[in-house]
Amino acid sequence: MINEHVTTDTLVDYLHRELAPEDDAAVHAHLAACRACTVAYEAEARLTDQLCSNARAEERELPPAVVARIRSEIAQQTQPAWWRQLTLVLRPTVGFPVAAVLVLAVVLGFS
Amino acid sequence: MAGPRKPFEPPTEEQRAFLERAIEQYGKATYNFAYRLTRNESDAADLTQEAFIRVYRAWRSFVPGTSFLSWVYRIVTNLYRDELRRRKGRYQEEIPDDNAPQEFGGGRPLAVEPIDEYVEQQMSEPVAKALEELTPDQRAVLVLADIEEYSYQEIAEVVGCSIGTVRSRLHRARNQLRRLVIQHRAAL
Repeated sequence: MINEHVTTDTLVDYLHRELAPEDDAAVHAHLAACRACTVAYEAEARLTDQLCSNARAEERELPPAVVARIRSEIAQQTQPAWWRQLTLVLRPTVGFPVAAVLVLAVVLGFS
Repeated sequence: MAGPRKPFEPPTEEQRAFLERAIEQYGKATYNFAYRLTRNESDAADLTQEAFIRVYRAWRSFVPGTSFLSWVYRIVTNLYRDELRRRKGRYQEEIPDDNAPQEFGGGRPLAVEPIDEYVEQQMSEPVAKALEELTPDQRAVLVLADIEEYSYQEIAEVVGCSIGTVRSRLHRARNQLRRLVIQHRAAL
């Protein structure tokens, strides 16, 4: 059994079950006999509990808009090159002026 | 094993199904992990979106039988790190040297200075505030260790460092968290 008090870092590793088996057993035995270290260990455990409790309280659903954006982005990226070029040309900022010029040309042609 | 699929390659039904299954099963967990890292809904949404696009492109890199969640968490962590570097250009400066002396003595025997005084009541808000003030790397390790309950080995794989670095980063994060919680509780 450990006679000296356990350090905070060791208690953190013990809490996360990351000590070697013999060290884990030694800390376990020490905690059973040392009130100060038990209090310290319980404080560490409560800190972890509070982190989990906060995480549960602020847990949220994945917004459907994010899923839609993922699908949209992938759809764009997987389109053939010619289609991407075409949609680029046909986007409103280019498409509307082009259409307007064509309509004007047709109208002027008839008159 | 084949490398990541090129973006303009026609997608297969298998690839689409992989993505849809991934979103359905792990979308919420990924979004919440991203939120815990960023503490910001908009950034969490962007990270989640980019992570699943990477998942889609690199779907053949996933090794069946391994943890999908660890894989996607690793992608999120790397994307977040890249984003911080891009935004601030000083991400590395925010990360203390893991071998540097600790500011708040985690190696000190606890009985010298009992720490239970800060955990007795109304912990929620001080802990939340303190978590936001940790460095991104500290927060990542803390979230993975304490909320996701990952082992140090698993955390090392997600964040891309050694187990020793995970251990020291977690110790430092918790020391810093304790100190900040005490400060925030005193300010209440």
